[in-house]
Amino acid sequence: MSDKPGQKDDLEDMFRAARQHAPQPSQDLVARIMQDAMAVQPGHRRPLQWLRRSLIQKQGLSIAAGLTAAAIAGFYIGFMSPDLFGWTVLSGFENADYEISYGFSSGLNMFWEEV
Amino acid sequence: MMDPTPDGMMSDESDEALLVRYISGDTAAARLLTMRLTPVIYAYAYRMLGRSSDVDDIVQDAMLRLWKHAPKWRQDEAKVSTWLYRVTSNLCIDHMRKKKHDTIDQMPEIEDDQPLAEDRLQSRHQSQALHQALLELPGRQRQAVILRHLDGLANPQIADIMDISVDAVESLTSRGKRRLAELLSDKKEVLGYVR
Repeated sequence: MSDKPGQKDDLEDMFRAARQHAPQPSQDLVARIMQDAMAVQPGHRRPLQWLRRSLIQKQGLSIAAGLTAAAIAGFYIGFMSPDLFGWTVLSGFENADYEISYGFSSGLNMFWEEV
Repeated sequence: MMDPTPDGMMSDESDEALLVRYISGDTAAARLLTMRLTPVIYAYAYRMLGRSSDVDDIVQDAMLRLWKHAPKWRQDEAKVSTWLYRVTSNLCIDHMRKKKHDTIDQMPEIEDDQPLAEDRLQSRHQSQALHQALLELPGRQRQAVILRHLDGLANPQIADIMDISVDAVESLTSRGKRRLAELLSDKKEVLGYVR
């Protein structure tokens, strides 16, 4: 397994040369790696993160407000004029004879059954 | 770990200590680790693959894994450099499996803006000839030779990185060097050897 003396010296010279001419990463690559480091660093506050969080909170509030308003309106319509509600919704079915059957198909979905 | 960049040398702190600082939100530690570790694994991946565009992606991926793994880092775990070499090795090996093509013709020249004196030119030719020859070695031999003779790691650390015994490392480096000597023997005169 031993190397010949001259062969060993030649290889050592070449290893030394390769170490001197080591390939270097580009500045662009280094910058991208730094960006990654900042992006996943624990506790690092990203720019405008507070604004994003605030908007999400506000958006959540507006969604909740919209749902509440829709629920109140639905209750009001149903309570004040149930006949009007029934006629409007079911008028499209007056010539057909359907019953709503609640059951589970093989796909565990509710289904309509014609009778 | 060897530290070839001036920025990375600005701190005497170990990689492990810097990683702890990084976890606690220290931006300077992130920069020091980047400047210290990136050139090392970049050179390693470049020598393993010989393709510069893929090397960038692999190095960025390896470093991203380090940042993400950092909060789970245990002090008694392997050295940061060993862990990072292992991740980079796996990414390089995956890449070689996916792209089983001949990379020798695609080996780019190493860019060097400095004026080339004659001995520096000869040294550069030697370096490029060695890189070409390395790419002709079987993957495991190439990996062992690079880690031992270009990155200067000790055999036990190489054994950890490659997940093999120290004896196996010695065998791989020995066979790799013999094969390199054969591959380079025809180019001696071109490379300036007059022995």
